Amino acid sequence: MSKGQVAREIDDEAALWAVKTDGRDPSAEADPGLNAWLAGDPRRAGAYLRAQAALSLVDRARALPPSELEPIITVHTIPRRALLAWGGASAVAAAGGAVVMMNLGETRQSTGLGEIRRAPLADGTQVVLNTSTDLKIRLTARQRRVELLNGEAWFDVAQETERPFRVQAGKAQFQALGTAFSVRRLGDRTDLQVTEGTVEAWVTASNERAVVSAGHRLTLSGEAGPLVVRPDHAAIRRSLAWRQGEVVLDGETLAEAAREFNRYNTLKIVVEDPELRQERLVGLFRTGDPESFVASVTSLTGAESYRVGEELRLRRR
Amino acid sequence: MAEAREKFVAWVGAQILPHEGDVRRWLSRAGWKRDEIDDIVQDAYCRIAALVSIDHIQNGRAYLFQTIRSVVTDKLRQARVISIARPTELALLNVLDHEPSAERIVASRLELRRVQAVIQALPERCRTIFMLRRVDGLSQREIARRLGVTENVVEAQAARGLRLILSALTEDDGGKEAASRTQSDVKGSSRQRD
Repeated sequence: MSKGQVAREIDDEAALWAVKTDGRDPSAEADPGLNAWLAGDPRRAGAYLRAQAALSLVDRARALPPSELEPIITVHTIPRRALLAWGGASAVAAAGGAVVMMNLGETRQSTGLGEIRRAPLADGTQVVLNTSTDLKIRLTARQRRVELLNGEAWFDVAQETERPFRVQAGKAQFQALGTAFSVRRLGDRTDLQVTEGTVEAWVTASNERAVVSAGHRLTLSGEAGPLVVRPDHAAIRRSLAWRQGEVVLDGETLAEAAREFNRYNTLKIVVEDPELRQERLVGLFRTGDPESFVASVTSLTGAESYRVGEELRLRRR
Repeated sequence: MAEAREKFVAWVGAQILPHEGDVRRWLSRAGWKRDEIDDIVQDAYCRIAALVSIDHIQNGRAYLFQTIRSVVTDKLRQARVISIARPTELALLNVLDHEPSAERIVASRLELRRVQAVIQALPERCRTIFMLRRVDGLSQREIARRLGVTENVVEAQAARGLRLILSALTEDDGGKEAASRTQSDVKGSSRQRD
């Protein structure tokens, strides 16, 4: 390879050619000047490609509006009366509120840190418990009730019209008939994600009810916050990746990602800088491997990591 | 053909370019000097530019590392004197693209955020011209007319902006790189620059 020019000089010329030819009708790209320049040194083709690639990256960045990363929130709360028309029997049953039940057949299921377990119920319903989850399950002749004390579980509910399947998470109640959905309870925040069918949601002692259909999720903050439903097929698929032991990030902040990893591992990720916490990430990671995740974060953000005891700390260099 | 080229360029922008910084940082840590790294990286882009098809490439990052590895191998083969340190580097290079999670990164909005930040940080005149060109889609001639400068000035500023963006994206660790430099010049290459 001839070394008439150093790489940097070639890069300078390549940038000039890239802006010169930028926006031209690409089919007319046979610019004699460009061709002559490219022919002059085999290294130039690579530099030209790189410069053009940077322009395309700029265009992509431009196409990314600041608001794109915020979730689209739509609330469609259904008035109580309409709901009665929609699903009379179950709504009435739910309105009763009182738990009249023979205390038979109560089982408890729980998972430890990092554990993910499948727990089929006697009625054919499939339950998958995510990490650090605690469930109480009661199947009676008339009702199927699950209480989520903590953590997250996914339910693929066996259809039984006369025996409603209800999940309670704190004051949040979810009722389904032949539906697949997950409920997550972390602190005072409860998330419902519906993958199939329809789930009815309400808060104990509140008149507000919402119908959440497949591809939607509902988030409840605090004891009696408003029922917020938003459509989010992709997000639901992503956030249920835990069933395969994976975390999929698509624009989540580093803070959110760290929280997610910390649910699974004793080795906790701590992000020191507030600014770093807001960095958004894309990628697929193994939930049980926080070290690899942190290694990726450092390579992507230029942050550095160090370990203190059971903490994997991240900070800006 | 033109469309294929456009797709190819976009692919390089999305799948290769964002990982160049990592490659450079690694090469630097392995003791390569700045101008050597420039050459290695340029050579890698050359090989990528010569690709007939990219359909077989599933992971741009892994492919970039693989290409860099082969460039480095060739470079070492050409060098008559092989240092003791080099084989270790090669071993390291083998490990690098197997980092499982890093390998699985599909894209990064973070990267796009960085691009946005870099554009914001361009010198004012440069940024104005760059924005008029890329965001507003004005022709060079139109920009020149509006700003009352020659087209050459517009072109030069736009190119300068592009260069600044490229270096910010791929080698933003400036001083550290120099600090981590070692007595690596064992191959008898006497090319000196800077």
